[in-house]
Amino acid sequence: MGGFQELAAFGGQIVSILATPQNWLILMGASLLGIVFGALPGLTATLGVGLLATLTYGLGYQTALIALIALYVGAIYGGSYPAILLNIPGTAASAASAMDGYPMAMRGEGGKALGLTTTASFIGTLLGMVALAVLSPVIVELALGFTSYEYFLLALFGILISGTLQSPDLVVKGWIAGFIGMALSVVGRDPLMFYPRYTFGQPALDQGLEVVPVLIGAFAIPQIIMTLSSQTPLAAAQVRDRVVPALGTLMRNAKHIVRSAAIGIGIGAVPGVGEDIAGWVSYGTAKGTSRHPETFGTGEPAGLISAETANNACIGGALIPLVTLGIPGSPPAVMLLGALMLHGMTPGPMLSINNPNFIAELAAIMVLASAAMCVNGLLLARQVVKVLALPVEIFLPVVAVLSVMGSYALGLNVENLYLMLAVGVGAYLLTIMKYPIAPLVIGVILGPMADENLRRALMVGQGSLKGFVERPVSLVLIAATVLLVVAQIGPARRLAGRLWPGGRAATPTPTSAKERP
Amino acid sequence: MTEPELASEAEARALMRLWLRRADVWTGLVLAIVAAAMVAQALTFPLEGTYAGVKNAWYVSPALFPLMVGGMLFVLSVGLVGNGIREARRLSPTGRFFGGGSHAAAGQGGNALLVASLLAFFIVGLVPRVDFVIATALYLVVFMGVYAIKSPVGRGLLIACLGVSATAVFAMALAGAWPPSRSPGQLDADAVLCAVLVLAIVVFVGFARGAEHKRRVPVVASAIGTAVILSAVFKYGLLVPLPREGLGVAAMNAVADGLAQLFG
Repeated sequence: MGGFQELAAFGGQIVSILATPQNWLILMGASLLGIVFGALPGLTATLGVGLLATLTYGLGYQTALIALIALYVGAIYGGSYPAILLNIPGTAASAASAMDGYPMAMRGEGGKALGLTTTASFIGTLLGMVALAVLSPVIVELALGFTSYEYFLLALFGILISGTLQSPDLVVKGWIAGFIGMALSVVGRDPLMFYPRYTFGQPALDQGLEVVPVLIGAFAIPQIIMTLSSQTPLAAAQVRDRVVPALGTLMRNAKHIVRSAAIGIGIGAVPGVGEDIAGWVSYGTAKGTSRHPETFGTGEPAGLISAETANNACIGGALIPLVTLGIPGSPPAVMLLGALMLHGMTPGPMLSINNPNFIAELAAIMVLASAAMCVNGLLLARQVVKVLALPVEIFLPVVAVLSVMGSYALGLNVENLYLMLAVGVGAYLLTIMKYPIAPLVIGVILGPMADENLRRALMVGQGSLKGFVERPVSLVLIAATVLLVVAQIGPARRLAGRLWPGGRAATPTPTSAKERP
Repeated sequence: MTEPELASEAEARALMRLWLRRADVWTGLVLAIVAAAMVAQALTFPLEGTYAGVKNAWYVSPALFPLMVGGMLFVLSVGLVGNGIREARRLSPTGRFFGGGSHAAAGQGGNALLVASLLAFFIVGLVPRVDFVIATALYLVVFMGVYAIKSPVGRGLLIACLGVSATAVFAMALAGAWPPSRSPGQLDADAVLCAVLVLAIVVFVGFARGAEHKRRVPVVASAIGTAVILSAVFKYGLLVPLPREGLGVAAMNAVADGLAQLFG
């Protein structure tokens, strides 16, 4: 399809979505809900997408996608409200925004900070969408040539890199989390011979573990417990000045915007690594390249713009591996993958073949979602700020009930509730011992793909592993996986440090403080 | 930050690391045992398989992937245990694995147990057996109330309202004495749980002191409002049947019918 046809398909999708009045309502409502969800400390974009997914069972896939993307974009942006006004990030993605947003609010520029955040997030989302629209067809073309060899290695690499980058403590804990996820994924009848594995004679386990209760349990329950444990009374937040876009400031920071968007898209495209890391890396890079790094942390608009552009650009980046390879790029994208599966869609290269307009449709939804976020942000910021006064002991129990209903509504099965509770308690225990949860759920989702494709690949090679090293993409994936693992081994890292002394200097991010095994 | 503050922060970080390394040893051991059990169970699966013309091949076996995953999990867990023992000895003031240091992350334990217990009472005891609207309202009044008031007696009574009723319901169901769905006995049982809900509200309101007075109306209204609104959204909006429908849903149906007649 030529560029003109793609543009026409994109425009057609926008017109077709806007021609339905119900879509306007869903777009604006979900976006506002996302902003509120992101603004409430303790509630995350991941949780919001997961809970809303359960409410979209009865809707068509396009309507569901509009609601989920609008909520996702809104929640990533909404997290900046408490970060700027209270110095308490609503989501991990907006933690870097607090560094300069809060000092701005402290000197009476809360409205200006929110205006900058709104426009930077809008631009970031749009640039992410452009990357999605441009890169996805190329990756799909490439992925269509993938066979079982590549899919097995891709799943393994996705789980390992997510474990490596997400682990707040030892990297090995991230890998263990990924393997726990894969271990959970083998429960049920195996995909080739239908032999019951780890079902212990329970018919309820024959179909395997449902993904949605696992996702909701893994993300919602630890979040509820930890937020209630550290409940901080929130001050009554106020915005004294007008919430305006401050276009002049944005123009002066154009280079930060472009660089941050590129960082956000790149980080988003890495499986399982989300908006929080994008925000910090972008902030660190902006500070590192600034002529006045000493102004960062004192209310420097460039710091706020960099963090917010990157975390929203990350959304488009995270959707690229999701729609092209079926591998989610960020934790909220994991939820989005679960939601798409609920609607009978299997993300991967075949998605664009079965539905040629899908990428144009997704890009159109992202544009509309970012526009809705911008309008809601500029018009309703003062009202949304009021939700920060909601006490956690009131809204978190409501979230718990939503999690229960969401897990039950899938298959109307009470066993799903037991699964959600068990996974939630287990995920909480792992969380306090500093195991990351994202690799675990990615393991649950990609486990069946790895299992089936490994066996199919071996069947093609009649038990020989030669096929893995005879294909170029497969070789690249093996090299990347080996490099990833070897890079975590102390002596190998020291040797690399001696060989490339300059390569050890890194941007200061929260991840650089991690201990390595 | 002053020098003593920096020193105490560094000390707290060191204690936290020591606690984490010790926790790594115990979790590593548990995971290694689970992984070993996974491998042992996988060895009971057929070790050869037949699929799409390929006969009795090891690489079609349903045990292949579980063996790989279990094996890797075992190796990584053992590695974690080894690293934990070595690092804990290095970090411990006594230079030994046991002794010295403290439980730096023990603060969240109480909250975790409380939230998990409340959810377990709700999910395992009430949801499959009691009218969903009543069960949810009771759960929310207790959950919100426990975090909204400080009185230990009040909090204990609230937890008892949910815990005792959920345990009793579960025990009756185990004994086969719980009434079947949509039977007159179900309505009676729901009425009893409704009385427990009223009791929980009375306890919460009675034990709210000082500034907690302001929370009385928001908590009760949010609990009951959420139970009714969410149930209505799922049942009438999304057409999802609730896990158990009894007295509360019957009341909602009556209101819905009344509204339908009123507006034609």
